[in-house]
Amino acid sequence: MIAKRVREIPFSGIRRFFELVQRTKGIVSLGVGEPDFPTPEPMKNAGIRAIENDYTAYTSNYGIPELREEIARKLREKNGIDRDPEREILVTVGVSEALDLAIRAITDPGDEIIVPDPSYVSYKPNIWFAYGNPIAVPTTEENEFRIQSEDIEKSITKKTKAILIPTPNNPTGSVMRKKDLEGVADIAIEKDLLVISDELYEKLIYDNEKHYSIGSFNGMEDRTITLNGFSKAYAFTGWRLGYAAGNPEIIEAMMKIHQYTIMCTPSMSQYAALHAFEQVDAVREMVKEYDRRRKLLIKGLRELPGISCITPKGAFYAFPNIKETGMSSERFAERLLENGKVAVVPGNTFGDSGEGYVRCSYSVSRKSISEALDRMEKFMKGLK
Amino acid sequence: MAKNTDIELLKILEEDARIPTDEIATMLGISGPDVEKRINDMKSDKVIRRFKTSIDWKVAGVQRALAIIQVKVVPQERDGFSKTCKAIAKDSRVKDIFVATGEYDLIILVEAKDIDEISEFITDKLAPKKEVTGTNTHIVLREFKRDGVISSTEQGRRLKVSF
Repeated sequence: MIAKRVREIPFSGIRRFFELVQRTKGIVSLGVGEPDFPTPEPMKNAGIRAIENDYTAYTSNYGIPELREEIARKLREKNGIDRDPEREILVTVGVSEALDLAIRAITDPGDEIIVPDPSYVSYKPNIWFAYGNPIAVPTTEENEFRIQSEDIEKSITKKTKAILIPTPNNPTGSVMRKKDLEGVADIAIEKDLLVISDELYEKLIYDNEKHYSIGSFNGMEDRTITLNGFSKAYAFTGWRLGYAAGNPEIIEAMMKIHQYTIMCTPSMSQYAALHAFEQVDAVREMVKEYDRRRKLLIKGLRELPGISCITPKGAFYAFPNIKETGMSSERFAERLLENGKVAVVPGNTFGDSGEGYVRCSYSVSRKSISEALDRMEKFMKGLK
Repeated sequence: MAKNTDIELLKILEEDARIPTDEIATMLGISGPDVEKRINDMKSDKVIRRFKTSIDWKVAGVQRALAIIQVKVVPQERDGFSKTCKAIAKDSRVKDIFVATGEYDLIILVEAKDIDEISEFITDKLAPKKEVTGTNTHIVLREFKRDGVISSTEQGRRLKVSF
């Protein structure tokens, strides 16, 4: 009954683990992948006003013009990317849709797209759905999980179409430095490749690291599809809103798919998002709080026997190394859940190179972090 | 820079006065003894008034009555409202006193064990003062937010695990 392509793509391997999490009572979860703050008040109010004033109809396929203007201005001022709001920006259902559209718009059957490993769970399936082949390039703790140009270069074949670069990265929290991105840009230009730049966690960066947009680099303007959204920086996950910016040919192709599958994003979400870029103070406060929690979590993890952890510079995840326990990521996560009542996400969920690690989110209250660390300490001591 | 760290420290304490020193130290990137010193300095400078606990007495099963009382006072020469305020402040049931603009001069918050006790405070202690020319008492019926904490149990929902 089910189409071959869909059958062939595996369900996320740890579905069983997630069901276990839902069933287990009294757990502290470090498994969350979204902000625990409420959406900033002015954005909520704008959404409510939109509903009250009946801004509840279809919008332009591209998104309401006012929002595209705002996005264009933000990209110009904050990212150094100059895009025409008329034809070079597309508002999407979360960055998830933008990612799917970007991949479908550029992938012919058999085309290869280079993806860092570990990375966000949807990248590979999205490429498979488009009949493309994801080429996983391992990243290592030694390089703070930043994908290395030499490794990209080695993976390039005649079929390579694009390089997918998420920065900051989920689950590792790694942030690409300027020279890393320059290396990627050089390869893209030399080999005539596209770059899909997923910058969803852009605002969540710590320790004097800086976010760079590869789409602003010389020669990269028209070969980069910049993806971003409102979910992580503005605690906006349930509103489902993201966007893509790039050269008009690609954006138009993406719009074609969007038009026939989605039509347009929720109107009220778009009106709420109009006020996103004004929320400078709210974002600053949230980032400050994430930073405090990050420090608590990292220090606590490092004090645990059998666990080591590098300092993540972005997003809201730590990616501790659990290899010393001798357990696989999944086994560790399952036992920690059952015996320690703490939920973490096994690192191999995000790719083979995530084996031996687990993802711990610090998008939870300080109290939950402390409680989770106490429980983990007991659990780890019980292993000896 | 030192000033900034103190403000960050105050914000953390304002939210949770019982947070362990080493956790504050980790979050602010300073040493434990430095945290203690800063807190002690701010205590002596009266920046930190005191550490108190926000309690929901209703949940604790202890009856309490809360009233907001507006008070009209004839200001005194060379003293304004100070003497009156100081006298009212001595009563331990008085939690807050504000001098404010508007029809009334003072707004005070009184917490007692029941309405009778509030009534006694007003009729026996507050109203008889010769400079007090009028009072307007609001008995609190329900607390929705106190000390910055919302009493409502309704909360947004999040998945336990998401990517």
